[in-house]
Amino acid sequence: MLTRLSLRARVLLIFAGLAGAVLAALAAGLWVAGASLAGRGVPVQAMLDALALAALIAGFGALGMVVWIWFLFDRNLARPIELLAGGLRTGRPPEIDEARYLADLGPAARDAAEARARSAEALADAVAEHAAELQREKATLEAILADIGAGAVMTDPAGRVIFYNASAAHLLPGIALDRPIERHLPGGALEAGAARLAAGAAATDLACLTSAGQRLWGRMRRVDDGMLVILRDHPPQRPAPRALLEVLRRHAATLVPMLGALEGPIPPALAQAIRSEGQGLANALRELTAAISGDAVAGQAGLNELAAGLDLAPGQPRLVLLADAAGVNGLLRHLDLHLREQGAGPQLAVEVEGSEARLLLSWAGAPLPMDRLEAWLAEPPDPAQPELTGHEILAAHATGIWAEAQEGRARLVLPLPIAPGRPDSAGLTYDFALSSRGAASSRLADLTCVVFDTETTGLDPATDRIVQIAGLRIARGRLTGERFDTLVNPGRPIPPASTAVHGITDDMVAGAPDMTAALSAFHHFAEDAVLIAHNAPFDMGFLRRAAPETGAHFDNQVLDTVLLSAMLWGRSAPHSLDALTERLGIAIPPEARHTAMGDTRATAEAYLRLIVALEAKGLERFEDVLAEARRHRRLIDDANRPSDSVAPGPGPGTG
Amino acid sequence: MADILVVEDEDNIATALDFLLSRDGHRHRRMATGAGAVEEIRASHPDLVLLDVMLPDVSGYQIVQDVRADPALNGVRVLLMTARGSVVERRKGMALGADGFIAKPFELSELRAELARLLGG
Repeated sequence: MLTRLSLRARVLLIFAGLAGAVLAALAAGLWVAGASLAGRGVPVQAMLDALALAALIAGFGALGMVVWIWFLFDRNLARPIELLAGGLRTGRPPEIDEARYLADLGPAARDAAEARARSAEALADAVAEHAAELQREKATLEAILADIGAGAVMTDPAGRVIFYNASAAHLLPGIALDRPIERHLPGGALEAGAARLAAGAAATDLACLTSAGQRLWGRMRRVDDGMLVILRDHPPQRPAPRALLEVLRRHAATLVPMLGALEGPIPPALAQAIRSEGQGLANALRELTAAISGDAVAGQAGLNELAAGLDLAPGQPRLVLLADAAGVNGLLRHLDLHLREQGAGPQLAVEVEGSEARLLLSWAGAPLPMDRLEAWLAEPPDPAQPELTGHEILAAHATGIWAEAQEGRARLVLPLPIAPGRPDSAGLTYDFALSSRGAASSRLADLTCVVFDTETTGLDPATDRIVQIAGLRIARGRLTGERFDTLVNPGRPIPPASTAVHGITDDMVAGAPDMTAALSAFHHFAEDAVLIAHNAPFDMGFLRRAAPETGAHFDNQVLDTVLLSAMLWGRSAPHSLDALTERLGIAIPPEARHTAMGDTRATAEAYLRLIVALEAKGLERFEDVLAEARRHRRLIDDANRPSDSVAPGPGPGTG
Repeated sequence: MADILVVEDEDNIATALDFLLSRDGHRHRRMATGAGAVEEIRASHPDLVLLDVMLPDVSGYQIVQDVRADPALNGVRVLLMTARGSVVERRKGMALGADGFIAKPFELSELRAELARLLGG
């Protein structure tokens, strides 16, 4: 039973026992002395006085000595041993003055830790080199997948997501590593596809509805016991517009025999029928035109690529346009050449309006006659591709070009759409190791977690509000690269004292989502994950207090890195985020401290190092940690119990 | 009623337009080619030119450009007609100075609405 207590508590108990034993021995000695003196006829009062004095001196002396020895023992042995043990588990033994009484143990521990750090460093270097190689491969893969323009999702044998690209994140909002793909594509389409693959097909077509009701088309293939699903929001090949042709044929077939009636007077009913069929024909033709007119090209090109070989005006915005770089650049150079032959010195510039960029080839002089422009567009810019005329290039981009005059200058105008920005920086999100790490369990290293932090208008969840929330996902012991970061409009002024802590001003949150929008999105992000925060009761207090207003109920299980730190270093060590990260050798850039994402990243990295140390201490599973946490409850609130009483954080939103 | 010049090379559409415009009481005449159209507009100064884009000799875009380059023709309205009804064709026509644009096939009501808008009633 005593092994459950900390070393310091056990030492304290031993010394308390020792003091008790000394006092008991003293009492026994006095009793024997008293009995002996009474036998010799010593007066009782004189004997009691002498014995009481002796008892007082000997008792206090013995007790003082025991306490003094305990104090020295605790300060110079037990406490340094506990700190050294905590430090060794995390690979960073602290410099402790008192450890000098541990003889060679302190230096030996430091040497061992340094040796471990050196090998860890060598390993980290090797990993970094490997990671750089992976990064290059990732960039190549990303470029290929960006050109495909389709969503790609890969799953492990259990159907959980281990890879997805930015297009997939766009098509399947809320997709995240380690979540079942079926949640995003319900309705049995995946199951039916898997059955076709099981029957021997190498790959199979897929048509499915997303959980949001959007129809997607794609292809499914078995990869390494899991699935690779490629998804588009339109059919891979535009089906022949048979239905529309059929409508056209029906209207024409009805209309032609009616034309015979035009020779004589037309009865009103027939006139109505001719009108109706004619209108049907016109409508069908319009639909057919829309159906067969090409999509805008999926390729992307930077303005600098399109302007290669042209005189680009200085100070143009950096833009990426939906365009085939070679085609459009060839056309612009072709026009530029013709203009120069005519004595003009055209310069390329760009005007942006909404999601469109207008490329402007302008020069001082008279506008270009449209018939001359049309003649130039009828020529192929590249003689090696005689069929690819300027008109064809424009048609492939679903755009056109025309001449204008503006402020004494003539110009040609070519509108092109601006490429939509990709969500976040992560083009690809993946962790192929997820599939090899077996089924999820309650082991800390297997949990799917969301580490998060909030910044607030103040310390009281009952009256204050969130102004920023950030989160990072961890799946099976690794950061997945998936992040959540938003400012929140608290709907009230932010006190200057709080702004001084986190730097968030009223202006910054003016256009931000409100609490309901932000917390609903965060709820989506954190669904099914264990929530982790530093001083979790503070942040959970804000999330839970907001539930009636936002409708987002955070029933997730919770881990608190303050508690985890207390389990390793005891209650007496400081557990602020700064102290914890310093102990663990995690550097937080000063400018990131007290930003929700900066603190989240620091907490996440601390957590990943803490779980290694906790495992070494036998706290491997979530339930082990929970049981251990109950023992620390007197010190710190357990954030797993929804509670109105919330431990105050060390500053506004620093929990 | 208004004085309208129709520049249209397709005889059948020209016949239909002739019928419809006459029925609505417009004075109108037709040219079957683009060549000489600008000169005709300068000479007769019609209220509105109903102009086909795809003419065999000079494009309708060229005619719009020439009409708009002549300040004396500021009062002449130009309504473009084309079978290529894409959004960019409309923008191109409007950028060149056309006052309106209708895509073939158009319905009588559409043509009437555009004429009414451009002729101010």
